[in-house]
Amino acid sequence: MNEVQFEQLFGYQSDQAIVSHTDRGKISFVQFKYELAFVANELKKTIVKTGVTKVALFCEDSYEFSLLFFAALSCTQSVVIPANNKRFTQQSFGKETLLLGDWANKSAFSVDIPGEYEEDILPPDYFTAEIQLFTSGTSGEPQIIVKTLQQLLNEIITHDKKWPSRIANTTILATVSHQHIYGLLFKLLWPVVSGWSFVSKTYVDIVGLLKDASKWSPSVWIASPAQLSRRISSWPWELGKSLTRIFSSGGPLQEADAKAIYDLCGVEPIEVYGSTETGGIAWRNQLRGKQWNPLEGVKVTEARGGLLQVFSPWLPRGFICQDRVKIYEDGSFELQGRADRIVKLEEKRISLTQIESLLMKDSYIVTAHALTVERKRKAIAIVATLTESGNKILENKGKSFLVRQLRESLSRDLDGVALPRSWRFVNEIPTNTQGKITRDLLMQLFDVMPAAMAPQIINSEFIDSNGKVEFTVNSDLPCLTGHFDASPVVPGVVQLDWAMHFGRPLLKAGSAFSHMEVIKFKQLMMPGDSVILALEFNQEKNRLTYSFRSVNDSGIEYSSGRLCFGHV
Amino acid sequence: MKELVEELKILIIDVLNLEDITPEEIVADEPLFGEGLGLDSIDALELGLALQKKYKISIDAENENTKSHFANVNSLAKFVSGSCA
Repeated sequence: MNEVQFEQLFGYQSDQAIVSHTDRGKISFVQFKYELAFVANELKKTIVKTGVTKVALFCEDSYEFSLLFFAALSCTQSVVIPANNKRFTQQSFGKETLLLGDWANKSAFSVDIPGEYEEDILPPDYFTAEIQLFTSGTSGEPQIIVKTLQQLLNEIITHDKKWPSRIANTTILATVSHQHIYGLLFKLLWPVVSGWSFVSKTYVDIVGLLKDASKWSPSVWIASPAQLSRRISSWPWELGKSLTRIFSSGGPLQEADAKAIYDLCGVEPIEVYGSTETGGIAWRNQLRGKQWNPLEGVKVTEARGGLLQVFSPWLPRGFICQDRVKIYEDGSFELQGRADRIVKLEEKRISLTQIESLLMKDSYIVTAHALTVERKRKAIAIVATLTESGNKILENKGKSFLVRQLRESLSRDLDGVALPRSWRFVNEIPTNTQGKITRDLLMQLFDVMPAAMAPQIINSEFIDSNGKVEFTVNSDLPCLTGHFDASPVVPGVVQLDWAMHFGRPLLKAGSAFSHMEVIKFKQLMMPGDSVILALEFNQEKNRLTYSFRSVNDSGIEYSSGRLCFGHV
Repeated sequence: MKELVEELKILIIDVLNLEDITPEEIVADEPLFGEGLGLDSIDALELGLALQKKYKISIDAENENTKSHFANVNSLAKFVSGSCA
């Protein structure tokens, strides 16, 4: 029986209770009931007329979403909740699915509430449709996860017991979207079940959130590490004292961020660990401990391969996650990384396999390998070999043009966060002596020199085994500090490092540095100098000859030498 | 204004760690987000933080105008110089 009664779903004690703060002002429960009745009525007419049984719902605004969501649950068979409303997503639905909400499609059904209501229409008595959510599967193709409303409610009831609000008129504010399971549960379903109000917009501005949290206190912030980790101390954090709780989910919060948030607004962030497939699994408060504690009624065991297996009241059967786990005697556990090729960036689950297979469909790419690299933020990097047409673009239009083309074509299918930011185009993918491609070998291609350590490039040109890099020695280079105070010069060792850094693309895959020859330092290189670095790689001898010369005057040489390599 | 535009291009490359892109390759009136440079929502957060720190300006992300300020480098420069004045 997958039928949820109206009274089970909505916990508002009076008609005057506030359901939502929207851009139309406060919406009371009585008004919400009228509007839901109206939308459900209109939707039903469309459903009868078109004969569709399945709808796909996307809405920026959580209140509008709620009207369409509950209406659709009452009069269709399945409600699909995609993560975005991109064209690619829309195309994947086909004609048998009615689009609801914000879509770039004129035939989409959207909310248009009239100023006056007929008093005699009533909201639906019960809600029956299944709910479909998406997750990125191991194969890379998004997978459909089917839930019943009852399953979601079972989880809500557990959270509500664990973290009861002492005060009835709590307001939920969120920096996450209801289009994902965490937001759907915490931002939307929890408040309606508990009879609290939710703010219909998704905040991007923390200052605005803090102000509203104080205005509508007591309040709860449904957050994720992306926002909790990006703070400015001058924001009015003292207003955060009106928050009774802060939840974070989607990915692990750094311990330092949890502490900082506590110091700023006196609330200990509670993290919830879970997935679209499983719903919530466990929670932790990093100010009290690093280990995860299973939610009430949830059983966690270690399956074959050290994988986490979960049984819970909101799962029809046990589910094996792709997270490796270590379970302690007291039942708490620690996560030890993913077992598959899914990575998580900024709370988004990203399939490296999917990125690779999309790239390999591109006419410029033969093979592609995706990996993550740590920059200022963790990002996707690609090592790829190019087709003839790809190589032509690289030679004629340059790397940044090619990268832009590839990113543009990927952006039709991928979220912005998943778009690769570092690219290396090679003649062959480096392999070790066993012929295997390892992450370490690929990582070698991504130079570790931070951008701030390299000089300001004016121009660079690489043809076959030769390279030319023109740059100016900018005065804010970190190597100049203290070397020397009165008259800063570029240290010789830094020049060697630059030769290595800029020369790396010319080297053979898998080369390892062995020694240097004929190193000469002739002139001091100083801030403001314009310099040309000439590089030549000798394939046979496996060595890189470099020289730094002045752009001006007679082209005086600063330094030169040879870097010699062996093969691993 | 021209100086500020160049300064912002360098800031964008620096803050967002953009590889393979020189300031000259950022066209001042092409979109920063979505198409064009193809920045994402996390970049918007980072860029917003960097501008607030560097120029001591406040950015009201809920304000509809903010979106248009972040449209491209030119509009950003106008916004920054207007806010600092």
